[in-house]
Amino acid sequence: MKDEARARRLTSLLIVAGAALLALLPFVGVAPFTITLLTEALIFAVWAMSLDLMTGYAGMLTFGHAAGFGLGGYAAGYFAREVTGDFLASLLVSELVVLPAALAIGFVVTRLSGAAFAIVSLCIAQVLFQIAVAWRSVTDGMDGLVGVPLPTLLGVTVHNGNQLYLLTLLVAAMLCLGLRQLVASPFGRTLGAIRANADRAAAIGIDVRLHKWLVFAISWAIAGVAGTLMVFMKGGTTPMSLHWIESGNVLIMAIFGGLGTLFGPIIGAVAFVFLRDAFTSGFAVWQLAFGIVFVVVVLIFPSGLAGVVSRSWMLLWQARS
Amino acid sequence: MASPLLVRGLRKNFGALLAVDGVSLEIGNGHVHSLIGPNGAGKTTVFNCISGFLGPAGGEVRLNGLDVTAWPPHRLVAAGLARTFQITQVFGDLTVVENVALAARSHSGMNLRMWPRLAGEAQDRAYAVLDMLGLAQQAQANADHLAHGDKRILEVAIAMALEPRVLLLDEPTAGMSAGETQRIGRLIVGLTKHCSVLLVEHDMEIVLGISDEITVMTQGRVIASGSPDAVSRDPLVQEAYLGAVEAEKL
Repeated sequence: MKDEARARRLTSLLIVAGAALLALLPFVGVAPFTITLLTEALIFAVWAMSLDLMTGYAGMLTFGHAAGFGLGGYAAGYFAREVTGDFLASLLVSELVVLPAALAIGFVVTRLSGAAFAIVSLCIAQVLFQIAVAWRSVTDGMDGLVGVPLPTLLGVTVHNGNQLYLLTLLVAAMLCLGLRQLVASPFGRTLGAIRANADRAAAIGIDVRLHKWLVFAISWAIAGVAGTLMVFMKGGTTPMSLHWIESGNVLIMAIFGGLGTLFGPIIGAVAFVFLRDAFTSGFAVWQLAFGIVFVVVVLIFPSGLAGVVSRSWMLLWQARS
Repeated sequence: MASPLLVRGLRKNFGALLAVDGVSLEIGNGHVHSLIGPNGAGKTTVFNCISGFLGPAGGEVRLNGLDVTAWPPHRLVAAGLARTFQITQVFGDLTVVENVALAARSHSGMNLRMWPRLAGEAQDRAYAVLDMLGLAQQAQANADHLAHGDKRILEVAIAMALEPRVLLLDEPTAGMSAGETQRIGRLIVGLTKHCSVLLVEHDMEIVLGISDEITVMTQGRVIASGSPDAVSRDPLVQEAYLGAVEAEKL
């Protein structure tokens, strides 16, 4: 127990140190384009971590995780364009839309499990997609919501590029720290018990559905934060942010990086964004090339890239002692 | 004083199959009450209906006088009813003590706490339960690495961490050697200091040795109920279940 607490403190320290290191990048001559890619990767990382909480920790496989992300983006973007670009206010409004939606939808869908849950979550995201296409007076349909202003933070405008990168990094680091605490908490351990054996968990008095419901809401809420960041980065959003292709992408990031690790999805998101960039310039069908890399990595390392890292780390450790 | 567990007219069907057909039983305070019968008699279905894993089609279940019919499992646990499973279901990749601590935390309502602070009370209670059941030596072992008999006892430990008033044991000696069976028999008798026990069991020596009352089921119905002596002398029971050889011995 003591060792565990110490390991947790060390990990938190590493996250802070890693974030500090990443914060230096704009000041040591890293190209603006790379910073933009990193910003997108960090936003995806937040989104993929939220998926990891639901799928990796609680064992709830979802094919519709674009829902919270896209919904949060629309709510924040619409509010920012119509009222104020204040980042915190937009984030708050986004959560005021995402959280009640997640609680209502989650209340129903967490009665399901396994394949039924996965498919129904997909359908819900597709329903939201259709609403975004059809509700033209608010969403501008397939054209998408455009004209979202630059965000302001405490009255100061956050410009695209380095400033937005630093803001995203701050949010991502805070959420990463918070999620690590959450998965180590009694609540997080209980999620592991539910994933391992839901009947067993129920037999020791765990309200399985309540836990799944809470995880669903927390996961969507964090996805909504990612959606908010994304709508400010792109200056708008489209119905495609709710599409099942996006749900597939975030699942790929999380599995590619390693489910149930939180660090894995970060690595997966970074790999996804940079591989996509490398392949789009080299191949006409970048998805094909990425798909092959994905299959090879997952075949060789079923626990994802994070599994590779932690295994080599352990080997190194054993070799030393 | 109300019976710790009272079941009246319990019915459960799976489609056209009537698996449990009007089963009634009453457990005395601090007693071991055994539920026996040939395979397919509906014993496990009765267990699942009482413990909330199946919704009964009719009848009622009362826990200390409180009507708990069709309550979900977690509420029943909170009301003082715990169960084990016929097929061992421990959390294999957790340590023995962590398995028990999970139950202890759930019992004290700590499992919704979203900030780490694992040590303390739940851990202490987990060790106390392991101590009581003689598993303290293996506390730090991975649950998967335990011998089969110890795993079965871990099942009981997990249930006891919930401080139940009524404990449902589903074939605790399944797959055990004769020596281990003796051990778990003594252990169950020891548990009656803390709770009443409803036991589903195939090992007749254990059943006749430790039960205060026995209820016999065949084909979803109760055919006899009473003290071990009375039940083993019942001709219906001898015919349906115990068999001629067993009957001669008794």
